[in-house]
Amino acid sequence: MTEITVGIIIECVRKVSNRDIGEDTDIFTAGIDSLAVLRCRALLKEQTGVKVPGHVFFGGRTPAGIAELIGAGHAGS
Amino acid sequence: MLVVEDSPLYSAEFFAREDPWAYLAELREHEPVSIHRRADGYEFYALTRFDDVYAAYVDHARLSSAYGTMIDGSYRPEKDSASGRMLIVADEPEHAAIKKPIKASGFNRRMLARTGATVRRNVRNALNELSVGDRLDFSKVVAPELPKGVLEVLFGIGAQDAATLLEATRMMIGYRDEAYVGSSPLDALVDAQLDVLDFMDDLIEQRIRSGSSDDMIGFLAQCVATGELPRDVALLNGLNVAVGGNETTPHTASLTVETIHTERAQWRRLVEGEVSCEVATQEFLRWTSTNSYVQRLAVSDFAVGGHTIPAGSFVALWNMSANRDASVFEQPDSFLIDRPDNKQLAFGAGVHRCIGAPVATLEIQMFIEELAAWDKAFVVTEPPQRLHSNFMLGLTQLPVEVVKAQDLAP
Repeated sequence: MTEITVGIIIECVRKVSNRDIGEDTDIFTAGIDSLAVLRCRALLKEQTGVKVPGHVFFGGRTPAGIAELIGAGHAGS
Repeated sequence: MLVVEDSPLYSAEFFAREDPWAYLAELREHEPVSIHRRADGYEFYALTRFDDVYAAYVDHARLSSAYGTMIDGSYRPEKDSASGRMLIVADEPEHAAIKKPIKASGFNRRMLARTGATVRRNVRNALNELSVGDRLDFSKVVAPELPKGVLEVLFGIGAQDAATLLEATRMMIGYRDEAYVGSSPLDALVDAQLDVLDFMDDLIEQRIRSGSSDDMIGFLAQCVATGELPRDVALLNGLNVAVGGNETTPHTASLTVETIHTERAQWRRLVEGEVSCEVATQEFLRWTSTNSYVQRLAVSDFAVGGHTIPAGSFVALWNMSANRDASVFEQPDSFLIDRPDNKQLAFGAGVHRCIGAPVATLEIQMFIEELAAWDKAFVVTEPPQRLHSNFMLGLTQLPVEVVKAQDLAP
């Protein structure tokens, strides 16, 4: 199982949104909606085997924030 | 025009513990069009009379659905993120284009017959499992059988998956009620929403692979496969139909059982065949008015009830109030099981009238037919708990005991 890093999150968000996302970009202000979160979560699962609960995206808001919440043990499997 | 600061109409607590019917009756009588503000600056115009609510429903050109149909659904006058892609938050012409495949595949006559039969079977099985003396929470044990049958047919899934899906949509809608979600309401809402979307997406994927269009989700999946429908649109509308179906009729069923308990003499007339189940169903729908209101945004000035609501305002159409309007219903505050020519507005009106209305009506009718034919009956043993919501009128707890039907005879 690969660890979920800020880099992997940025890559997945970019892929589903076609937007330039930095580690401190608020992904929802950048136009990510529930469906994009769904696609992003599927990509993350494909790459790391971890299924991240939805509230981690909405609580973390930025790739750095999301990675931090995952580190804090919010992610399921 | 009356302006209510910190209006109780925002308060889930008010709907669970106080008397919103009486509050709305007061408005309907004296201030049928009024403004309701909250401390954070949110405000909406409340329409409370039948004619005004009806006029608002049919004027979909001036009153847009695209900004969310729940108060707080979209916080500012900004379009909902699913706007124009999901039935409930789409305006014309997108709305009609989305409605067509859903109606054709999910709510045609053949599907209606199949859902009716499945719901009847589920309800009958649930009732047959009960014995005299059993004590149970009706809202948890029997009520979910109604939408479960619909999910089984529309989404082509088994009873177990249907039960899981039900639980998730319940969290999405009831997220302000601790009975459903515990103490982290927004987290629960968000997780549940993504899980439902995931589930739908898997179904669409399976149906695209199998090529099966036997059920609604299969038909939508084939539309995706041929390029007629974007996959996101199929997904969002699967969600829309599941939520719309799940979070309504179980509440109607619970409130129906509570009503039967308090109106035993009228119910007996139905059991004895003096009143048809079809007629009674309409009165149960009026009386329970499960979906209390819907919200619109005026995209141009809208004249109603002698006032002009300026463009840019939110407008709430109070179904529950319209359904108690004395200018349309005689003895509006009485439950009359044989009420003739019932014009109840429980499903709204116009192009946005609930797409599932025929199924929901059938579910309730099947349910009361099965209850009437049952040799037992429910007696409410403790005061029910009302759902903490200003949007859905329902029960989170309805303690009942099973008794012999003949023991309730006068």
